[in-house]
Amino acid sequence: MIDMTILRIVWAISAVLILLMLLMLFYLIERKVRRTQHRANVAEAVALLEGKDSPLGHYLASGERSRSLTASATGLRREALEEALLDRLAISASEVERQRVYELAADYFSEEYTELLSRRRWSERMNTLLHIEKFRIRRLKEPIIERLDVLGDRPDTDDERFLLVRTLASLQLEEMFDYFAIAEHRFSELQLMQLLRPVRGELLDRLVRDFDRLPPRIAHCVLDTLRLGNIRTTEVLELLERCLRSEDTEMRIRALKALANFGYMNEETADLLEERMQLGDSIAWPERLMQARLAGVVREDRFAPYLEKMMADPAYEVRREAGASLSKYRDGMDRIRLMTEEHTDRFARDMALETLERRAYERHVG
Amino acid sequence: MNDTWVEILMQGHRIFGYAIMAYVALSASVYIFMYIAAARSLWRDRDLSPIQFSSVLETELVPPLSIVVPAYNESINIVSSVRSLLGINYKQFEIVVVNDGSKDGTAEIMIEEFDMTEVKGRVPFAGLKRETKPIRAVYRSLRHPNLVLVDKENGGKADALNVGINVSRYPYFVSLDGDTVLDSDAFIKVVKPIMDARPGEEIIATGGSVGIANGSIVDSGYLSRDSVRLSDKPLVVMQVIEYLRGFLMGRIGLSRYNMLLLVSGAFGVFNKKWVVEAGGYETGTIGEDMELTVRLHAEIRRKKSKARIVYVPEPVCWTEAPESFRILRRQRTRWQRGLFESIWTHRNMILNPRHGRVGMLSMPMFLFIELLGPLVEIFGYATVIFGFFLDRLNVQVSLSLALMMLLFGSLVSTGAVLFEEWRFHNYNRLRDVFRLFFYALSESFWYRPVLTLWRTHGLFQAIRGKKHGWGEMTRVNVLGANAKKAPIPGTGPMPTDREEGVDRS
Repeated sequence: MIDMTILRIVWAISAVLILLMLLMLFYLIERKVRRTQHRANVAEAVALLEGKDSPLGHYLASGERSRSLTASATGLRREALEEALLDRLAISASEVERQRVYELAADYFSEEYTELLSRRRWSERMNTLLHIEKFRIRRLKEPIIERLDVLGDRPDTDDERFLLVRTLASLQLEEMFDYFAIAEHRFSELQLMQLLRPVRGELLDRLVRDFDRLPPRIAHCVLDTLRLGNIRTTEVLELLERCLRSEDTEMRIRALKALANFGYMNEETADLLEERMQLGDSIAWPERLMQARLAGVVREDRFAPYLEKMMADPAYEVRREAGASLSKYRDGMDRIRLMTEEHTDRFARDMALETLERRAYERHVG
Repeated sequence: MNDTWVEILMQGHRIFGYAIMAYVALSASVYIFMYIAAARSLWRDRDLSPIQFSSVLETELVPPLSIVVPAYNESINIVSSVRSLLGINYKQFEIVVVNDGSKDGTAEIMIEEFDMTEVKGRVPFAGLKRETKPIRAVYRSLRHPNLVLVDKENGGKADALNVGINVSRYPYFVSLDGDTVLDSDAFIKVVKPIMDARPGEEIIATGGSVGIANGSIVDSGYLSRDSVRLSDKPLVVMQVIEYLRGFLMGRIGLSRYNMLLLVSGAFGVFNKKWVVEAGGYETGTIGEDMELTVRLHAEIRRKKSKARIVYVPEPVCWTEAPESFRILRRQRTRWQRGLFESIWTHRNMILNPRHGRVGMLSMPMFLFIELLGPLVEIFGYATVIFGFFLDRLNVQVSLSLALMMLLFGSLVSTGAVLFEEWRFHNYNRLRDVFRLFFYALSESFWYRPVLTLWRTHGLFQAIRGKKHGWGEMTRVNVLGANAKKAPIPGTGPMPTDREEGVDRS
């Protein structure tokens, strides 16, 4: 009796399993067929668009849109045009042509992109954002902000939030500043950098001007952005020097690093650096590392004794940096050679030797 | 007297039967759980445009990578391997080829071909504590400033990797395995999670899916999406399904809960600082990649860190699968031995609450499902046969149950085919889909039992303490093996892919 019940259950489950598999097979076939068909159509349309005497080619060369180009852009046509334009962007060198691509894309896709941005399917929205970014469609600011506002607070919305804010940033829209508060808590360092790196002109000036009001992590990344972008204005120099006096260790470290890249600081700041180098081990080692780097860039003789001392630092990285910095000084290599024999500290002697070897290596590898 | 014995036997058989049923139920629920986790993640990401990677690639923010390429007797392939690596789609990287005391002039060919000059002096960049075999010389290319060759005494692949780590300059390094053909965007795909790590969270290792290249067209060391073809050989198709299932289902779930025990040696990115602190690769083991991953987990717990080891579903590299039973058998028994070694070395982590989820869940899972699974399966068959003779068995019920389990296995495998379609659609011909699907259905009836036998055999070999049976080191032939436009031939005498943990269903 029990056996019968078990048997029935087992058979029922087996039937469900078979049914599931059949469903899966049909679904797979349907999807494959549809997709293959669709791809073939798109490819054909792209080929037409990219042809030599195509209306698109004509437009990109002359700036005039023919009537056949101005048919409505939805569905298949949109995808084909998207691909053709992306291909064009990837290879085209002339700025005029790029501008024409952007204009055409803005005129043709804005409406549909607005609609796509509110689709239920996550990947569709993400793909749309990536395209908006590529085509630099600034007029889609409103839908992007609307989307950001309806986005919940849950962590699994962060991927989309990031792409939305990054799109704002790459479109140079000041609204990006409104999302710094949440970005501060949700985005990774490299994501923040991706937000800040594309910022130019007026917006960048504003970042420097309003620096003290920025959330700390974002402020740190702004320092890195300035360094990577090689921005060399008096305002930036002033900001970096001011940051050296900050209470925030991380801020000081990044400012030191940026200054080392800048390659210059005023006398007053040099005094401050010397003062802080005197504090020795009471300063966190990453900061000592950056002090050593900055001292190596400015090459003022008064720092040389500190660098020598740093070559006996407890942290390997600091010793190495100090060695590298000292070797850039005028008589640095001689000092180091002397250290290999005379320094009382074994670590320092080792590092002196290593620095000599590394210099020999780097002269080759660069 | 006799009756008592029969009674004991019956009782024992009953308990054994229940134990096996409990085991089956438990492992089935683990699979269902992973299936759902994977489905959720893949469903969301389906049809995501590949331009997501090109947008990231254009920034200079991608972390620089040191690509470590161990080479042993690779004079034929090394040049084309390095050539194709030099052309990868990535902003900043260096290539460190470590010649592990080859006897066929691998180093000489490199030096000649890339115009390399010796660099005087010792160059330890990382400060790894582990002893390595001595370095004979370090060379760098005059033509490619980012190409370095380290010539060292033979010490095996793990030792070569350790030397590579020591010489590498950048904070992240990539380990590449033999027979690996790269996807052209491989690097950016695996680095993306590192770039997207949340505040306070560190990604210390990432790996991607490994696909099977047999039958595809490899062009100058790369395999692009359009060139992927399904092999004609049933044995290869089975492995394609097995890999899909192992990667897409097993690892997505494990990675989500930071329980991933294996970043494949075929292609993985590691944070150098962490690997150095964990002590680098263990020499003299078969599964040095899994061993390292487990040790990294231990290190995470020790430091009470929020660091993560992440898996990317994207296919990043392709490897040649064995096309004959003989070689497949050798590969699988070796994997099983490697698995045994890794688990045995770290047996103190199993069910150890101090190791968190890894100790409480993934280690036991690897022990009971991956390592002992085949053994339990064989015991299961024995119990059924035994029960049949003891006349304690309702044949109808047993056969139906067996059929149900086989169907379940097939469903899991066909599910993997579906996942592939959602996320990658590499196999676009309808014929390929049908073949994948029906082979997936047939898996439980021939492929799996054979594998079960081999894996059990491997387990016994490991317990008996058989040392790994390749002279010094397997031949490592990175990507360039098939540089010419030609379908990939069958594997050489020693397959080197180390793709383990291709989960069973």
